[in-house]
Amino acid sequence: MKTLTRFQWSSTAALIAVLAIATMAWRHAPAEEDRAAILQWERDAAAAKHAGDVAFFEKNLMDDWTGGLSSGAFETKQSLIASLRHADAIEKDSVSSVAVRVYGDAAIATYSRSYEVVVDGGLLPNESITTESFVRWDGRWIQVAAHSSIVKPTP
Amino acid sequence: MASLSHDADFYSQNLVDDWSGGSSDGSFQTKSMLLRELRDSTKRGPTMVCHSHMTLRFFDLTAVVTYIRTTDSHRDGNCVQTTAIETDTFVKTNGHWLQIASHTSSASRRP
Repeated sequence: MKTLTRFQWSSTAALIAVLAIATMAWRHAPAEEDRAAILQWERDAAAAKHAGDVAFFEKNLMDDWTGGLSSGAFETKQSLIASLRHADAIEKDSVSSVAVRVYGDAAIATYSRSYEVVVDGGLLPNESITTESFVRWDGRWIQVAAHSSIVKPTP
Repeated sequence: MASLSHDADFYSQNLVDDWSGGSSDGSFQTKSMLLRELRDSTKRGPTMVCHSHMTLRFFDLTAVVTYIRTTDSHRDGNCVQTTAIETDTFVKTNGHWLQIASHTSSASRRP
């Protein structure tokens, strides 16, 4: 058996290191793409909500989707879509601190939201936090659950 | 059971390291914050926890559990019962279900 020279050993080790780094980068790339896809999902959902586009939610929520409300009740996909058709006017709606974590074919998005609801002609400010759960289904991300709670004012 | 006995080791093993918990007061908790709270001997845990209306949905290696949680605890010398709704999300990793996120919102409070 032929003995490798020191140069050959160094070259082989360098090649293995390069392949390892390339493999890590290749494995890492889809997670970045998935994170970007979820962030785009959030932007599309916000635009759809603003435009009253219920078709977006019909297409991008799982049929057995659940929504945990800050009032302490659960809603279904059907009740969400019905409420979107008759939603109260929301002003100054903004989302911040968006974080997305991907676990293979599952993903979690968390964010804070500030908005003002028109009540009796006046604006009522609200702040909430939300956790959303997604699964990759037939090659695209579908939301399976969401849950929000209101930020309690500091005394 | 683990929340009743303040069993931090259970949560240490069964939550992913970057777990997030959305609470009723509108703040997010990390795994380390939760473990610190569970290990804090000055904080009294609940005396009773009851889960009801539990539904479980599987999406291949992802599961979502929703339920109503009723908790009895002592606060400022009084017995307080709280009811909250909760959504927990899990992924199956190496044959083991790990919780990746939890979110709760208060339904009512009865002093």
